[in-house]
Amino acid sequence: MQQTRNASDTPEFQNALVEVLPHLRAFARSLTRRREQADDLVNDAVVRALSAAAQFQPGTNFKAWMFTILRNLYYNEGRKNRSTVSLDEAEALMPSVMPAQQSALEFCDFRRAFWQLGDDHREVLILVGASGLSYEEAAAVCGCAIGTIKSRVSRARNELLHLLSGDNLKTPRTDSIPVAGVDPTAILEPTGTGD
Amino acid sequence: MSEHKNEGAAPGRGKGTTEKEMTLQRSQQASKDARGDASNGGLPKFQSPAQLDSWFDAQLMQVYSEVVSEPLPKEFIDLLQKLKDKSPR
Repeated sequence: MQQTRNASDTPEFQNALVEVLPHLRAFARSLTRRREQADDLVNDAVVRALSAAAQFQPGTNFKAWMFTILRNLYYNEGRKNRSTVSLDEAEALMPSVMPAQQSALEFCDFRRAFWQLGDDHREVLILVGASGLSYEEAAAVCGCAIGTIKSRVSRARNELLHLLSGDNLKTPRTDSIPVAGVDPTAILEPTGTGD
Repeated sequence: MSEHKNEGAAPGRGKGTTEKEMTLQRSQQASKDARGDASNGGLPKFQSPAQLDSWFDAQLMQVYSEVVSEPLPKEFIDLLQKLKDKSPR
């Protein structure tokens, strides 16, 4: 008798899962702004994906499928309300070193501006601008029209430029730049448990 | 498990020239501000909208890459090991 193999047991599925994990973490971080909560979210999304593996349609975008699962977990199960972290809290944890290269300072400002964006704008920039999803795939992940995604991307870019122009960043730069040995994303760590 | 990339077009590109020019003007204006001068960071000077788009995309990718390139935490290593052990040989 031939043994039935679960979809989640196939090497293809598992390899795809391994490859997408870092991207899931980045997407989750953009949603929660907290490393610990983001990793919990990723863990739960992986467990959910394993149990729902049969629903994945081969030939479609696995990353987009995983992003959809993760996003649904975040927005539909009350996790969003637990994810707030103040900008002051984040800024307080930025590594502070003497400024080095101009490009590093520019990136430092860009990153601060990015984390000041609203949830929708941060999300859409990560989905379309960084993770490589198409507008259509991002629309499927967010459950909205392609036109909505396009206009959100446009507004998000304009908002970022506005934040970077003049004195629009909420907190002054403290000459903090990413340096070797210092995790720049530590700014997203919560100072307390928060939950 | 295919992935579809955007067809070489950066988000925000392909809009009307007017909007691009406005964005460029904004960045050029910003470069005149105190935050935008060479000693104080902010928006660098751009010669064209394409240059601004390129800079923007590079910064965004860097924000994303910071997390993507992090080593996986132990809990994920353990999870992957369980998967590997469970996988039929």
